[in-house]
Parts: sequence; structure tokens; C-alpha cells
Amino acid sequence: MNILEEKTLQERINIIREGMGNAQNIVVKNIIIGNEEPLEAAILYVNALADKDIIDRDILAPLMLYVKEDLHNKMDLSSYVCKKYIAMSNTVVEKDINKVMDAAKRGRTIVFLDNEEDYIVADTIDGIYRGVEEPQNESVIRGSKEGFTENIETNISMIRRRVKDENLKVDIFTVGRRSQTDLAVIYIGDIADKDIVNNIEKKIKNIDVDMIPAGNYIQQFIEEKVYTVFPQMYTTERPDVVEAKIMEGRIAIIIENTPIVITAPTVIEEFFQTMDDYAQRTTVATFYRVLRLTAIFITITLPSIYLTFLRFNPELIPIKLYVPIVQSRIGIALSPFLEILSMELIIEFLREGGLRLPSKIAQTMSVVGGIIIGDTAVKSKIVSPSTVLVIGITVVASFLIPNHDMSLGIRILRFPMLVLANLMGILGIGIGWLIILVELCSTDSFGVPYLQFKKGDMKDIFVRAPLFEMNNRPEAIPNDNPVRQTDFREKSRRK
Amino acid sequence: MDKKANNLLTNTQFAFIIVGAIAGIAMLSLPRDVVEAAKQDGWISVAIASIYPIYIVLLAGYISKKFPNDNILAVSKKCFGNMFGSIFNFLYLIQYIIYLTSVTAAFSNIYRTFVVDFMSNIKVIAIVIAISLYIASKNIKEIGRISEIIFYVSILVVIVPVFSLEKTNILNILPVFGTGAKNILKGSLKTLTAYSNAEIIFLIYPFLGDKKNVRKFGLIGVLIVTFIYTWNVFVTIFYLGPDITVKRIWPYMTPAGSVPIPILNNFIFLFMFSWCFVAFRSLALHGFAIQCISSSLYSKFSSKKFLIAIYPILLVITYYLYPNEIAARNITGIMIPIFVIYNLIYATVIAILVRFKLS
Repeated sequence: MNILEEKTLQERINIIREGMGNAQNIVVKNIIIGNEEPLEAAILYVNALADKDIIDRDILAPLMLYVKEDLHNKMDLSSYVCKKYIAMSNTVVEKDINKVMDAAKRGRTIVFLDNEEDYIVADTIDGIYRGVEEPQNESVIRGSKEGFTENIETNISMIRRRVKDENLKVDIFTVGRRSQTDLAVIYIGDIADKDIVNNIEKKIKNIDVDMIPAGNYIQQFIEEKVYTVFPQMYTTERPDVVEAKIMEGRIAIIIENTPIVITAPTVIEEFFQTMDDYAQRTTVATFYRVLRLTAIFITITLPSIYLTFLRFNPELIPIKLYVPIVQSRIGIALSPFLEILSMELIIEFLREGGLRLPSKIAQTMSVVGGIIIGDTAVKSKIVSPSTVLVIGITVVASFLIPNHDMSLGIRILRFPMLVLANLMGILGIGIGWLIILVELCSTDSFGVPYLQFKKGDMKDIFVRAPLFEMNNRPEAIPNDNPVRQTDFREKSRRK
Repeated sequence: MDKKANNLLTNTQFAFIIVGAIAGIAMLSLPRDVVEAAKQDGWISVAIASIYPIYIVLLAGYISKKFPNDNILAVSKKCFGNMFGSIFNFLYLIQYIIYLTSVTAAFSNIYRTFVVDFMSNIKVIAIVIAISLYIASKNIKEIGRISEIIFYVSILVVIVPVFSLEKTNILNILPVFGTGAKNILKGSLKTLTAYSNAEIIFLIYPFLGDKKNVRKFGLIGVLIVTFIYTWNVFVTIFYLGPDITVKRIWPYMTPAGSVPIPILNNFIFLFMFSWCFVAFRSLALHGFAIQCISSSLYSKFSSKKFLIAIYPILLVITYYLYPNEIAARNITGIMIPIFVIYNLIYATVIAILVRFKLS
């Protein structure tokens, strides 16, 4: 028997109030329903999370104005009132007081009826959220301009709008002891591998922290390798990307109050693919993909190779190139290593500083950084023009990496590589790359090897094959349903 | 992805580990040793000598059928008893220590000759051994993946001399079979040292996901190595001719370094960059073998601790046993044939015992 059954209406309200920490913004309104033998009732909601207009119009008005009958002897009164007087589509009658409190915390309105052990929970969630905008950090030329918002309901609905398949599964969890943040795990039931889904959900359930202020917290809580620079989960602000990922058997994690959605398991090549690759023509997309991979190599290695040539192996550079480099270095005080390192650090200062500056000051920053420092560094004989050129190329190349997390990771790798090159020349660069390879080979994302070259996946790593040829889902990601499409072009081919 | 086999090697990884363990440092010096005996027919000697690794793979295939989950160390203990088995396994350990140290010494000599002349021997050795043992400390699944990826990188090292073929002379390899069967076979015997370390198959077959494929993919691995070696001796002879080949310490560097590329003066820089992956793969696999054997001999220590403990020993052996390239070759010239004979006898005896005693 419910322990609350014997309590008065006011006592029940107080229990819920206390359960929600006696917050100042909890609004309780006592009302009287019916004309002849009125029934005591009350509504409770949290101010600024619920839409008052809806409450007034669809809950209070019908209950207070339109109830002309005697409600006292009705069986199952809560359901009756809910069905007859609350003119809203999303209402439930709930017995569990914990669920009722959870609902109130999320902006729903609770209706209490005297002498009833049930509660009517009405969906009046509102609160002001940012609207759907173009994702600023992942813009594309050809493709949807829609980005995720901080509202988890909106985000889930964006995915649902794109994937109408009946197998789309959305599992809701609450994480964070105090923040009680909602989190949705989304996947396609008959594609995603069940072991991986269970593994991810188990890890999410085990999270025991106070709060989840941002999506990347979840990533750091459930990933396996903590100190590697390579992200083991993919993050995106774009619903179209998430749609494509879950169609390939991956699992998406949407976190409340974050416009970033995480997908896992991840393989490294994902970080070098963009939505535009698939929207562009095959040849064009392939060219830019090769360009991007070259850029990664340049970002990590070019300053180190330049240092090796200057310091240890000048005989390898043709004389026509070597003479101008040597001439430009006459009178330079710093050693090549310090020269490159100082320029690299200045670029990182500029980038890190510019990242969070208001746009008006950022202009000053780019003038001071780009023009004044760059120009005067050369004129004051601190660095040589060829070094500035090399560092400039490296920085520009690093901007070609589409994913922000991966871009940061790869930029950091330049520094150990530079130190290795300074100590051991080309052997150091070789060892640096070897360690990167070993690290990549020993990294897993939920049991899926991070770096792998499956024959079938070659269509979408170094090149981007025509879309109609990608008949199977990526082999690298375990899935229960490998076939994505059939050879439909064969049917329409002229005989 | 096959989830069940996630902790085991795939067939291709198995084959590539065998390729990686055999085809390491010997690629660069092999043409000289062979051509000394077999002249312009050196490449035929190399192809013939692949009988040795093929025999080893066949033996491994046979033993793995009887004991699919025990490596040769465990089988040896079953055959010879715990004490004798351990002694034989200890000899195996010494063999891998010699392999690892000699390859490290050769690595240091090659790199200091061509690109890092500013570094001292001890520095290169210390770094190379440390990195090799670091990779060796990874588990088999990761070693398999590394071997697979480095195999693709090493294709560059193997095919690049194609571009030097335009400067060659067909007379360099003529007359084919001109040196006579005796000299060709003599050349084959010299090649056996390059094919040593095919024995790693005895240690890794329990890790193969599909145990039925030990023989098949072992043979594929050996055939790839045979192709690489034959090709590399052939190209060297084709480019340099037998007379000049014997005068160079690392003859393969000449055709490989002569490839014209833009911006750089020669290809050696890029070649050394990609070749260091090949060398480290072979070193890491030797290290992995040491780790395997040590964990079977001293099960009390974790194998990672053993690798840390053995580091200074390897360093001292490499530095003092092989003061220069010629001394190193003299020592390996004596030691490795002994190991080859030991391995042949050891594996054959075990196979026979497995057939008659344990079945």
C-alpha cells in the first residue's frame, strides 16, 4: 500500500517540495474543482522551466472553469480528470513519487487531486533555448545547415526526423548525482552490434559524478586510453553526420545542455572525412581527401624535416635551394631548433589567444600576430624568412583537419617530433612516426581497433568511391547487418 | 570485424609477422654474401634457400596440428621433461638475444654511415633497443596490427628500386646458370642466415585465430619473403653487376638510393626513413620472442619486468660484442649457421617425438 495514501494534499505537496530541495522557484497553486461539492486540488511546476501560458490555458482553465459535475464518487479519478479536462496531448498518470519529482525538475507540471494517490503529469516543458542554427565549427558548402542545440528533446527529434526507421532505438539515462543530466543513447536496433551497445550503456550507468557540464565529459569518463592525444570518440554538431554514423552501426550519445553529440566506436579515418566529401563529385572529393592526408603528414613532419636538413643533412638539398636558405640565415642568432620552436610557440599563442577573444579584439590580434610579429621577427634577425615560410605552411596545413579534437591532437605531435629530429635527425623522425603508429595500433575504441585497413573499407579511406558502389557498411565497425544498399544502377543500365 | 578473434591474430597478420621477422636488416647486406659465392646467379640461390623456412613452416604446421594451443616451448617441455626442455628453451632465448643484438649493431652501423653520422654508437644502440623492447612489450594483437601496417609501408622499400632499372645492363645477370650448380648451392647456404628467424612461427602459432591455417599462411609469409629477397638480390645484381656488388657492404643501398626524386638530391633520406620501420619491426619481433621465451622460463616475473631487466644486458652485449660492422659479420657468420643447425635438429626432433612419443 502506498504510504502517501493517508496523507493530506498539503502534506503530499510538501513531500515533493522537500524532495526537490525546497527550491525557491517551485510554484504551487491550490485550486478548487467543481461547483456543488468542490474537490481540493493543486498544481506544481518549476518556474522558468514550464510554459505558464499552456498551464493557464490547458490545465487551470478547464479544471477551474469547466468542471460542472461532482467528481467525488468517480472511480480512478486521476485518469478521468486527465482524460476529460486536461486538454493536452502529452499527459500521464504516475504513481511513483520519484518519477514525479524527476518530471517536475524537467519542466513538467504535476496535478494533485485530494484523496488520490496518483499524480497527473502534464508536459509543459518550455524554458528558453537557443534555436536551431548553422553549426559554427563544422560548416559545409553543400549540405544541411542545421546544427544541434542544447535541448536534448530537440536534438532527439532532429535525429528522428531524419531516421524514420522503426528500429531506431533511443535509450534514456540520467547521469550526474547532483546535476541529474539526461542522456540519450541512440542507435539502429538491427544494425548496431549489441555487445557494443551494452558495453557503452554499462559504462554510462557506472558513471558516478556530481555533474556533466559538457558532452566531452562523458567521452573522458568512458574512453579507455586516457593519455593518448587521439580522440577515441567522434564528436559532431551536425545531425546529418550523426544520421550517417548510426546508419553505419555506430552508437550516438546525446547529452542534455550540450550541442555536441558523441558517436562511437571510432576508427581514425573518420576524423579526416567531411560531409562535403559525400556531397561533392567522386573525383573532386578524392582529390581533397588525398590533399587532407598530405596536410596531416606536413603538419606533423615538415618542421622536423626542415630542421634535419638545416642541422644535419644539408647535402640532401639541391644547391639551388640550399644557397638562398643559407644566405637568408646569415646573422641569425638563434639555432635552427630554437628558431623553429619559437615560431611554433608564437603561432600556438596566437591560435589559443584568438580562440576565445571577442571578434573585435581578434582583429587586433591578427594584425599584431600575423603582420607585426611575422615581419619584425624576420627583420630583427630572430628567424629566417624560410623558417617563417615553413611554419606558415605547417599552420595552414593543420587547418585542413576537419575535426577539432583530432586537429588539436595532431598539432601537439609536432613538438615531440621536433625534439626527436633535433636529437636524432631523420632517425628521430622515423622513430617519432613509429611511436605514433604503435600508439594507433594499440588503441581501441570499445574493442574496435582504431587503425585498421579492411579491404572493403578502402573505398572510403584514401579515396571516396562513387556512392552507389558503397554497398556494404564499413567492415571496421562491427554490425549485425552489413548490407547497406544493392547494385541498383545495374537495373537501369542500358543493355 | 570478428569479435571472438579480437584477441588473436588474423591470417594476414600471422603471415605478415613471419615476413617481418625474417625480412629485416638482411635485405641490405644479403646481395653481397650471396654474390660472393654464386656471382650473377645469386638470386637463384636465394630462391632455392627458401627451402629452409618452408621446412620450418611445415614442421610448425605439423606440431600445431597436434598441439594447437602450446607453443614449441611448452611442447619441448612435454617431450624432454621439464629440466631438459628448459635448457633447450634457454638456448632458444640465447639465440634470440644474439639475433636482436646483431641486428641492432647492424642498424646502428647502417644509420651512422648514411644519415646520422653525428650520433655515437652507444646512443643509437640505447635508443634502438629501448624502442624495440617498448614495441615488444605490447600484446600479440597489437604486434600483429603493427606488423600488418608496417608491411604496407615496407612495400615502398621493396618496389622503389624499380625506378632504378632504366640505368641497368642486362649483361650483368648473364649468363643465367653460368656459375654452375655447385656455386649456386654454396650461395644458398650463405642465404640461410638471412632466412633465420622463421622459427618465430613456433612461438606465434597458438595465437592464430584459425588454427587450421598455420601451414597455409606460414607458407604465404615465407613466399612473400622469398619474393622480396630474390627481387632485391636480382635488382642489385642487375644494377651493379656481380663484381661491384661484392665490393659494397650494403649493396642494396645503391640501386635504392639512385632513384631520382624532386627536391631531394638522392633517395637515401626517404629510403632510410621508411626502412627504419622495417628494421624496428624485425627488432620488435625478436624482442617479442624474447618476451615469450622468458615468460615460459621464469613464470614468476612478469614478462614486462623481464624486458626492463634484460635491457642493460642487451645494451652491453651489443656494444662490446660487435665493435664494428666487419666484426659483427664475422661473429654472426659463425653464430647464425650454428643456430640454423640447432633449430633444424631441435624442431625436427620435436616433430618426431610428437609423432611417436606423444601421439
